Amino acid sequence: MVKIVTDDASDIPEYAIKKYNITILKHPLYFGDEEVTGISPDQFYKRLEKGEMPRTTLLPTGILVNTYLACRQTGKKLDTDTILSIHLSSKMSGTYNSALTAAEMIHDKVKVEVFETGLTTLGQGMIALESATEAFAGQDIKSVKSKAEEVRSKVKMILAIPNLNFLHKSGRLGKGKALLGSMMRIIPMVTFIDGEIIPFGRGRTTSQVISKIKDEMRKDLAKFKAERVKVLLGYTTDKRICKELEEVIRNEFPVSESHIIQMNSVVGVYLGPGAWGISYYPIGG
Amino acid sequence: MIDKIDSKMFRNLLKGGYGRLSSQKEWVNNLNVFPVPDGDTGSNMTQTLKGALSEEGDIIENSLLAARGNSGIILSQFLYGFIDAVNHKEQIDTRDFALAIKAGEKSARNAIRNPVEGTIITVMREASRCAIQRSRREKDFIRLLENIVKIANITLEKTPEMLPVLKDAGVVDAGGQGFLYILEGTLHSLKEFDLKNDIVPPISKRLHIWKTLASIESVYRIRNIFDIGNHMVKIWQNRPTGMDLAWERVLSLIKRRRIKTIPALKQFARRLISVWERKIEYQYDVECLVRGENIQKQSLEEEIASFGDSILVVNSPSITKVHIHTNEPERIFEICSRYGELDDRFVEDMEEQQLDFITAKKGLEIEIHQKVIIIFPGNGLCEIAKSLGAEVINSSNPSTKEVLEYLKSEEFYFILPANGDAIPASEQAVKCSKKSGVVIPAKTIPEGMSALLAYNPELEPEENEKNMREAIKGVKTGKVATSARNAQFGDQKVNKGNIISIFRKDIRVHKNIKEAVFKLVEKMEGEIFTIYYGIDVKKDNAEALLQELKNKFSDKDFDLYFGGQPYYQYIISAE
Repeated sequence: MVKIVTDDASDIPEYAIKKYNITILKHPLYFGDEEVTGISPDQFYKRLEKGEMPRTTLLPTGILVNTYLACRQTGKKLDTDTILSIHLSSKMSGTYNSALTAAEMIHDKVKVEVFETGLTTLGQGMIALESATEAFAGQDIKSVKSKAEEVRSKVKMILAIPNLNFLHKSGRLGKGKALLGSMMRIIPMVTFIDGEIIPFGRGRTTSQVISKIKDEMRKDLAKFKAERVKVLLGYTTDKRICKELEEVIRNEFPVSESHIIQMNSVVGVYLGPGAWGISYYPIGG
Repeated sequence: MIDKIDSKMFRNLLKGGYGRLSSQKEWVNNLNVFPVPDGDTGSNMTQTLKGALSEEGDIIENSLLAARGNSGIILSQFLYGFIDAVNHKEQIDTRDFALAIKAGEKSARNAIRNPVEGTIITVMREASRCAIQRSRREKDFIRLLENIVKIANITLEKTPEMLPVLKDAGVVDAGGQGFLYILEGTLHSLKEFDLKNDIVPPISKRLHIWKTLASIESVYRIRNIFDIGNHMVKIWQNRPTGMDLAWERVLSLIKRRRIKTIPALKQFARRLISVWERKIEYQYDVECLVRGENIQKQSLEEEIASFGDSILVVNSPSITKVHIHTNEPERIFEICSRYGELDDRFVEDMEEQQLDFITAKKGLEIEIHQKVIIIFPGNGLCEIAKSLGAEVINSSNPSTKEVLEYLKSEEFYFILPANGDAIPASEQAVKCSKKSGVVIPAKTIPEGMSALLAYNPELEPEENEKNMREAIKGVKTGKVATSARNAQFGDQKVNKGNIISIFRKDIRVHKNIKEAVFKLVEKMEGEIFTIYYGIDVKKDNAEALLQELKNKFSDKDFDLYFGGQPYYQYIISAE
């Protein structure tokens, strides 16, 4: 059976983590020199709002090695024959490369395939979720991996980030810089292309942002001739907008599944309070 | 005057040729459409010449050992013939030089089973002809080479007329171009002159442009090149600085009214694409060395002839080099092994090469540099626009000349006049500048701001244009001013000094500014109101007014910014 390992830059619905037995590795998180562990997202965002500046680092190779080995041991006998280790864009973090090193170090003990999503948060979560579903159904590594690739080629993530400063300070804004520094009260939107943050547009109001998301979904669903669409909605501090968005989208599109998730702290470090977004995966056709 | 050269000097000349060729390698690669569009002519020729120049050993043998690909082997044969003709001499004059070129050309031609006109062979022949003719009187190497380079250049430019596949693909012959570069480099090492580097976008990038053209959904007629609209911008901005015959041809065909409609243009583009993407008949480029004495070149050549094309069998006394495009590499090696000991076997999958060559790699996507220019009156408005990434003209109604000054570089311009009266001047400016651009007819400041907010530098210009035009429709504009004169608007009489509100064609007189603003907000309807206060309004007053608005219309959203505009105390945008 294929085992899915990922990092906490994946935002995955709680039920799925348990049901599909997904292992999620937590990126080290610091406020200053203090390493923060076991902090709830709410507590975390409160500290963020107070102006404390957190930082994260890549997943150490040692932790990855231990995790891979442990997966092999816990899986009864040959229960876990291969691990698919799903990680965020190597342009955003060194974790992917760390995982590659770890996999190489123990290649004679356990077979690990490392998969780069080119995304983070809800987009990466969608890839992990779909791969886990496939693995749970008993598919072999080839099928699970090709599922992951298929999702990666179709999934789109759009994030609304009212305060880009957190992302800006992290140096990960890339081309998104074009959205910075505006004197207008606007909601910048970003998407990911080839593992990089790309400006998607800007809205004056939440409803403008939602309508832009709707337009894009309509285009993508037509492009892939999709019959259904799977949706993950995420927020850092404000769940209400996600609820509103979910309702709008369920009314407009053939949504087969949707989940609202509070984004993990490791992503919140960069998105900041008030951020929210969506990832959707057009299915069929 | 240089009338004699010795072997050491000759080597230096050749080094000059190598330098020139290797610096232009990519350009040559990107011309490589014949015999197979696999994009390696420049690399192959460079490698061959590099081998020939290696310090140890014999120039002929070295070039043969290093020779790769069709044009590489042809080049090595040229060198073979050339050197063979002068090898016994301490020094040569221009006549010897010319005769050696002729011998080189002959040797190269003999190596090819089916010589095709319009290739390196043609350029060599014309260069040789010119050399023979001129060297009768011309004793100066520099002047002789100048003439040869000139003729080679003229011949190269004619290659598309001789070989239709070149014409369709919009290139000159790659091997011929490589040979010309060697000649130029040789001349350059005798005489300092300006060598211009040809810069060319990779063919994959250019194909992307043509594909964009081929995908235009329109049946319009084309009156001039800019009618093709934003699609043309891509070509315009990415057009090669050097020679791109396809581009030149399209321009001239449109000018001469030979291409009159978009469908005709699409047909042209599709033909070009199909040449580069054509299916390769023989998939593998196979090369090997056969070592042994007295190898029957003729017989070997005949034996392999039925297994492919682009056959070259060339030899020096001790080695024979075999080159063929085939689908059966093993078969070729088997045949060759019967003639002698095989060495340096080489198989290249040309289909794969072709795919690499013509497919746009990451980072090769065409980026169109876009710029938004907005015409805004007032410092506050200009600052906001700048923070949103626009370039600003701080004026309410600039002249064509003023706008023109902003249209300088090779970018695609969006002009937002933000004032109905400024639209004609903006349009005139785009027309005069001959730069590509489009005026988005924003007639008011809120319309301009909305269009600007809809702009995303990551999108294609056509998409931006669509979004900006769309954005204008979604915004309403209201204005508050003090009347400068007495006037009559319909049933409304306005006296000088009256406070008036303006919404669409409706002009009203109010008791005071507050009433004017409140009435406007009621009349305009909308969810979000953005208010820009003018140069004559105090900040405190504006903020107090904002508070009152928020209290009165608690279900609406208000933002207040300093606009700094003259005449209008307040400009209100409703969305």
